[in-house]
Amino acid sequence: MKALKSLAIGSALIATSTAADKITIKGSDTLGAKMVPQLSEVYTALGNHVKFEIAAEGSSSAFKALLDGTAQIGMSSRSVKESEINKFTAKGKSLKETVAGVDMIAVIVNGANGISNLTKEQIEGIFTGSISDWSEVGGTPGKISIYTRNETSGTYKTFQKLAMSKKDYSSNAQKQAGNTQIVDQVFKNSKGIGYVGLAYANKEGIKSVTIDGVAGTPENKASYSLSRNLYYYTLGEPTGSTKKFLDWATSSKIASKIVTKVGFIPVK
Amino acid sequence: MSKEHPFINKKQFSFLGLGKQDAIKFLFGGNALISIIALILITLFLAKESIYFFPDYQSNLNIYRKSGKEFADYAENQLKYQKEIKSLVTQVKQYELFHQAGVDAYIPELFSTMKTVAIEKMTSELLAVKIAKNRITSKEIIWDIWSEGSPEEQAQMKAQKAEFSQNLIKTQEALTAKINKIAPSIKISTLSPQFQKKAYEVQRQEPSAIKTLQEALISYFSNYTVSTKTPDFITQSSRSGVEKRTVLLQTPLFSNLSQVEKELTETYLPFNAFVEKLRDHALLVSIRAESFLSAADRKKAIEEGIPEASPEKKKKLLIDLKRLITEDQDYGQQAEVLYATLPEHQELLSKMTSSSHAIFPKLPNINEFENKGARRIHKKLTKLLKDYDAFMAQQRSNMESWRHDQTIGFLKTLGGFVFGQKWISNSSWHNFFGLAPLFGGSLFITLIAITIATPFAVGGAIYVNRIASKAEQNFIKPIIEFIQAIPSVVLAFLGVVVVGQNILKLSYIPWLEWLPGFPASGEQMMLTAGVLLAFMAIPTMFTLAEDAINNVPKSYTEASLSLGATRLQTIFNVIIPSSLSGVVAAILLGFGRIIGETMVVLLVAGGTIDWPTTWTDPVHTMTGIIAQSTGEAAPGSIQYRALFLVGLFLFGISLIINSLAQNVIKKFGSKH
Repeated sequence: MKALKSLAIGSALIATSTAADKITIKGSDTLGAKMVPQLSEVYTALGNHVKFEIAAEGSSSAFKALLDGTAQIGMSSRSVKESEINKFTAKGKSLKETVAGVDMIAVIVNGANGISNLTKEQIEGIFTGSISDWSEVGGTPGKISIYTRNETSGTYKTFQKLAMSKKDYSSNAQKQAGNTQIVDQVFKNSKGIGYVGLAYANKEGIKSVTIDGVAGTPENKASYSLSRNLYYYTLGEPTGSTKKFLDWATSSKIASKIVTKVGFIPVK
Repeated sequence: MSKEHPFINKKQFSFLGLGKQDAIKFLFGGNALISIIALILITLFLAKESIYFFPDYQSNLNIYRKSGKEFADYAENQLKYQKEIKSLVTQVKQYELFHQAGVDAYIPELFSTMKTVAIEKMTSELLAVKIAKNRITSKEIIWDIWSEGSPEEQAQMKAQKAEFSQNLIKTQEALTAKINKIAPSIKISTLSPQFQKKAYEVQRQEPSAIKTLQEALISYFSNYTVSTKTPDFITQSSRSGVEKRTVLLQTPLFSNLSQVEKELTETYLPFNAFVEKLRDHALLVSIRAESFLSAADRKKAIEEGIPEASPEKKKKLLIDLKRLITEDQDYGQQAEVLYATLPEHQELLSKMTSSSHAIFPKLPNINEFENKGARRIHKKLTKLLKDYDAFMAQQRSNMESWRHDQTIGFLKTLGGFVFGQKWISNSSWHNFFGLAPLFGGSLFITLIAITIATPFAVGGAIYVNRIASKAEQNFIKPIIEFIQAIPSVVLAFLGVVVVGQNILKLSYIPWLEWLPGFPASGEQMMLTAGVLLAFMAIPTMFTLAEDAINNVPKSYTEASLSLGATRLQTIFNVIIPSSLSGVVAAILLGFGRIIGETMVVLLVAGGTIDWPTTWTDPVHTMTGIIAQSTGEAAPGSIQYRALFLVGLFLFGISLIINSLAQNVIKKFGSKH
């Protein structure tokens, strides 16, 4: 019995040491589409022998993957919920949170839209449905088409908190799977409006509006109203190559340059 | 097996007394049994998860009432009504204003729409530019590192920099050539349908506008890799649009409307603050109620986790365990706060309504508006004003009769699920699971599809069975049946890429505008889904209808023909009536086929959870919501169970339709 146990521990050790060469990162679409892939690319280019596997399916999937043990790092564009913590506690595990950077949520409209500024009240009105026509905010007449993320998205929740005083989305809102889909729909529909992470807002044919006159750019991080933290989550304190990568990604100069380049604001 | 059988060789292989024949018999019998068991298990599984939904939902609705959210929502409804009136006044004003100010305001929009078309036509060139740019930006950091590195690295950096910028210049050249080529082809007819009407108006007022815009496009993309500044012509016309509107706003009609708008906004400000107060209170109570409920879960989670945790962690968990809330709050006391606001509400409400009544007569008459859109909104506004007093009084009486301790019973919970108009999960106010909008979406899409498919399927069946020659039959039948083999996701693609756009274009044709719901607001709508599903249902319906027609005895036709009836008379007076039951069954089974379809509705129906008002509205469906939300619903949550219940509901519908179809055949089918 004892031999069996030590064998099991031994094989577990081997498993962790081989797994250490591969880091699996899952979670938020906001982080996982550009920032983390570029970080990992430069990280390996700098001579670190690590293989990365990245899947971006929404913040909620980060916690599912961490709980299953299918990922070493979870990316999330919102902080963990209490119900999610409960699941980890029930298995005797705990989560460690690391701030990955600061993101701004851009409100985007079609390039054909004459509107270039909206007040916070107007944004709340539009997304809750009490403002239903562009003419009410000074644009050319036409019914507003609202595009939002779906419910697994951290951005969905964060936007509700930051921009809509926690009110519910209009029942006319059309749910889209990711940032790119929202950009596509707003690009196609001249009466569309949506919100995406700042990194997605620079596509030709759409434009992001200023909010109360403040543009969502890194210089305005103090005054722009729709900014939020992005997180990495690990099971307990990170160790080994995971720790090395996270330390590098959150504190090195090069990493912070990459973070800035993809449209976020680095922690340091 | 005691009796000798003349055809069975008794000496063949047997195992444990079982011969080959028995083995085959048991194999087939076993397969049938497994199917039945699987079906029963599926039903039980669906039922088990969904039964738990009701107690969960009942407690969810009870929190809605106890916490006072229901109370706050009545006041919120009044506020919304008031705000909508103000919104409509603004809309009337702006529609008319933009109409009178002419087309200047639309020129920037027209330019951007043309730009969109250009972008779509130059995808590969723009992609090349993007890749060239990305190559530079993605290397910048490594270049930074290299610039302080060894001489070889510096040399490599310089070589790369030169190569990449040369590359970027090349992509710009390709882009310039392409835009010069395609710009003349971007005309009004190539724009998105929503914009064509406006564009023709622009052209009528300024015949050279399109030409100028095409030139602006060329100049914009010819310098694309360096700067993306909006051409001056565009900024100028948007400025002149603003100026014209500013002048117009001084005229009596608009200054009057602006005044009404301003006064209306002032009417609800104090009431708004009051409603916010109610909402904050109710939300706090419900959050406490929920954390009391979740305390039980947390306790369970900690207790399960303690044996697996390390010693220090165990201590922490034990402390957490002690801190959990163990006593529920006093709802009566919390509700007293709300009951006490009733006089204040009455006062604010009557202030709001009386000042509104003073403002309403100042609204200009509908005849003062030229714009069609403005007149349409004015009508809507008039209707709202007519119902104003009744609505406010209704909500007020709801508030007066509201009691926090009147618990919601099982029947009301059931009703809340079946007839509930809201399906909101992950809400920051309150979650609701009402089936009605989803059921409505499924039902109306199915009805549209059946209406389209029936004439095709039945007509086709009659033709193939009774009129077509043998060669035609052999050609048509396999082709129609082949449609069934097309995977539904492929059809959905067809919908996204082709059908949706064309229906949208169709809905903008001027002489079709009298149809309800036309012009449509987007590609994704019930009609698109209905058309695709009709296509999908045709083979099923065609085959069954054809069978039914084929089953009409030959003697009927011969008798009819020998009495001197023509072939058409025979078809309409003899064949159709006598095969009617089979045709009805075919339609019913087509209905069952469509209502359970998922992929198409998920991709093209639009995903808006609201009771549809017209056939061009975007909707969500029962199948769609299951496919979309199952992944994100936490197992065991109300949402998860609600989805199972929707599944069970769908299962029930299919069951009823199938048995109905069989009954129709049994009852009316065997007369010949």
